[in-house]
Amino acid sequence: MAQQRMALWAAEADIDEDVDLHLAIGNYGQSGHFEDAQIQAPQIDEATILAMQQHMAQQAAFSQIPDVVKAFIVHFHQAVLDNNLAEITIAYESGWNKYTEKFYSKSEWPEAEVIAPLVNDDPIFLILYRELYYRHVYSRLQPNIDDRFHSYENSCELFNYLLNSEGPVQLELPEQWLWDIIDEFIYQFQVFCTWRSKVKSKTEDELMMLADGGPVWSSYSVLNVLYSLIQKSRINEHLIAQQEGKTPEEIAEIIGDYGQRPLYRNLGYFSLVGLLRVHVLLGDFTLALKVMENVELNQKSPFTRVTACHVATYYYVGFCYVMLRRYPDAIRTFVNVLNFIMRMRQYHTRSYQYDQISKTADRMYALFAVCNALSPSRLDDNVANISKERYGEQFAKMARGGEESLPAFEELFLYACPKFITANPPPYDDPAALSALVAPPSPIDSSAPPSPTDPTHRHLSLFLADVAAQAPVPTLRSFLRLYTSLGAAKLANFLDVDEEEIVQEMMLMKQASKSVSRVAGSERGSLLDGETITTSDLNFVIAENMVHITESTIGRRYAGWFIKNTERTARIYDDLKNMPLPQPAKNVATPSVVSPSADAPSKAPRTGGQKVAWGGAKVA
Amino acid sequence: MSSWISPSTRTELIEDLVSGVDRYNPSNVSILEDYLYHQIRSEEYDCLANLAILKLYQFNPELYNPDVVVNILIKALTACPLPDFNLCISLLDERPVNANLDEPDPLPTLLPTLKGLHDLLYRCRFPKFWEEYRSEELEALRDNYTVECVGFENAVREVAIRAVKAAFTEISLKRLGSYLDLTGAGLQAYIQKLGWTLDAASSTVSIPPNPDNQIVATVVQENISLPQLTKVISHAALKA
Repeated sequence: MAQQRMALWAAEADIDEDVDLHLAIGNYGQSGHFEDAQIQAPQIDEATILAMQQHMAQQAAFSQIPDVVKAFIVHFHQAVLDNNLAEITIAYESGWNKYTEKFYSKSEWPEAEVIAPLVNDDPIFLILYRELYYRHVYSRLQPNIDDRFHSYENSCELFNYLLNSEGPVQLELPEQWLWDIIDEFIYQFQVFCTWRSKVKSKTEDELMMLADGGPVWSSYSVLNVLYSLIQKSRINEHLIAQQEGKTPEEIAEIIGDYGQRPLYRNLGYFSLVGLLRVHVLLGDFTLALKVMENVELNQKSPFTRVTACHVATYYYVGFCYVMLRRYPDAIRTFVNVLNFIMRMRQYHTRSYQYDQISKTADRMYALFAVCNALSPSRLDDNVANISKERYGEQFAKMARGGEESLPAFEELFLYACPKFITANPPPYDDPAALSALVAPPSPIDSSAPPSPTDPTHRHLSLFLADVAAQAPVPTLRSFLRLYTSLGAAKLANFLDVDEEEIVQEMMLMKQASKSVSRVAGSERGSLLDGETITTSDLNFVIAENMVHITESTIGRRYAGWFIKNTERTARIYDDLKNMPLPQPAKNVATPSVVSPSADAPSKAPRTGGQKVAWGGAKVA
Repeated sequence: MSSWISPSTRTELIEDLVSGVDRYNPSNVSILEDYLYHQIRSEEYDCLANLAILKLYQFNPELYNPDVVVNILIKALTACPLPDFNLCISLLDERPVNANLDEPDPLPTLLPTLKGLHDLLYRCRFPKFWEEYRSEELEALRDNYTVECVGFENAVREVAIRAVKAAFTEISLKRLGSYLDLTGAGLQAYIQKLGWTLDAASSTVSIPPNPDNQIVATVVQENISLPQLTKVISHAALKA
């Protein structure tokens, strides 16, 4: 208020008021934001009006909130205050989604300021609430530039609170939520980068905001957050100590105060996976695998507790292997997780997560098809069958090789690859450079290829170049399979090419049948480790101009199959035996143990505990 | 593989940089660049350290030094068939026209050339590679870059040798010469250095046996061990 007066005396009213009236009436002791709705408008300056309007709007919005939602928020807040993990989990997982579906499926949740009175303006809870609020906006609605900037600020506040408070905070949150925080943070970063790089569709205001944007959603700040979480929780040291088998006391010493709290430990752990993801998005595949070097990729690892995290980890690790041309490793990774997903499918009732996991699974089937075409393996698996079901057409084209395979590879790669981003924004702070980017002034130099500003295409072209190089291999392979020894000239004749060309092609084929791979039994050791192994069952060598060919075959594997099924049926039988006898009326007491494997041979055992017929085994 | 991840020639200082958070610090780029020039001069190679340089360029476009990038790519060429070259390209973000370079950026013109050379090497088209490499168009590349890189041509020859070793037990002298871009006395000396033997009469070179060029038809048999059967047997025993 005082300022206002001074400005007036200085005749520099930034508010277009009627000066005379002001001088005449003066300032009737208006200090702060009075609720003086009765006083005539000219005496209240705009700032107060705005505040009052806002307050009234908030009141209105507040009253619009359904009572159940209000009660939910209060309950949620109480649970957070009490660190009641069970209650928080229920509220977070089912409560929030329930009310979203019911009331807010097409609109935003009430703003944090509106519900603030319900929670006594508790800043921590409001930060958490905003996190959920923006997550909802990003997933169901279209965030505008303000939303994006504000969600970044909110995330910064949250991480600031977690990292820069005096000592570890006493908050406890469910693991699922912690993973979602990291996941969402990276997701918002990713969509922001994609949105930011579309220069042409920006309005004036947006351009201005982006020019001043600076550190908002910059790669460095995102990486900073993830690395800080990792360092604070000393998660790497923790994992190493666990692997070395240190005692709990020693571990506690190593990881310090922060690492001992589950909140930090989980955040640190999920940040490792987060880093894996960010590095893949930025195109640095070796670094991505390197950050995961202390995480063991097996079913016993902590990250499997959160399914979404588990699936994401395997997806990104598998994709890194694909880009590193380590197809056997990629195949193994995908098979592992796809089997897991198939088994877990029946237990996943939370629909929104299920959709996302399904989508990732689908992409992995596509990548599996790609890898199988490039490096055929004899995994006659459920995974291979399902993959053939969905991508049979493309797989056939890819496996045949040659020119026609390239579009199929391209299609599947584009479908399955992550949404890559560029690290740097277009030069919003330099208008000249910006306009040069949008409309290149000089005619494009015809010798230089059009530079794709889209990182996805850059990676796609690298991948396709590799594939194109290997395109002749399947045809060659099919020819070589027919012979034990063959003259190079004859082979060249068949394929209608030069002999020298054929010889070079065969060197390439030899190269293609070797791959770096993690050797079985070396589960420890970083993901980048590996030895060169042969991946093809067809082997050949050239002696001057003669090609000698051998093929290795795999004997039929009866034992594993029989043992597996014997054990399974024994289990069923035992379960049955231990079950209480059914009512006489109900005849069929067969427990339906749903086994995902399509080749479950035995029909369910009849009641009375008779031995299972092995007749089903013929269905092989 | 472990020597690719962590070469013995890497110093501790570089190891800390590559494995830690300091790799993101822009002021460390000169350390890594010096290490690159050391690699160039002493015929060493450290892929991950070079990738670290490219990553710094990715985040800090003002550090971009096209000569460094070209040198990294040249070094990566010699690592074929490892995916190093592709990994480098993956990190080369599209950059807006950089107005503060003193000289025009050579990379946009050199990049397709280098990609072409890499393609030839990957596809084992060695005679064609040498032809391209020695051609007039690539004079700029040779005079400005590869001449600085000690042992570049020998390193490329090693790429060819790797491929030949895997696929051949015997190869004609002429063919080998075309892959290595060597003839006569030079070729003979090189073969001797490799420890391969030359049969002067038929002018074929025989290649010593290695895991790749010894082929044996194998039948992979199933191996059942007793522990695997314990559950089945014990269950049957219980039942009985």
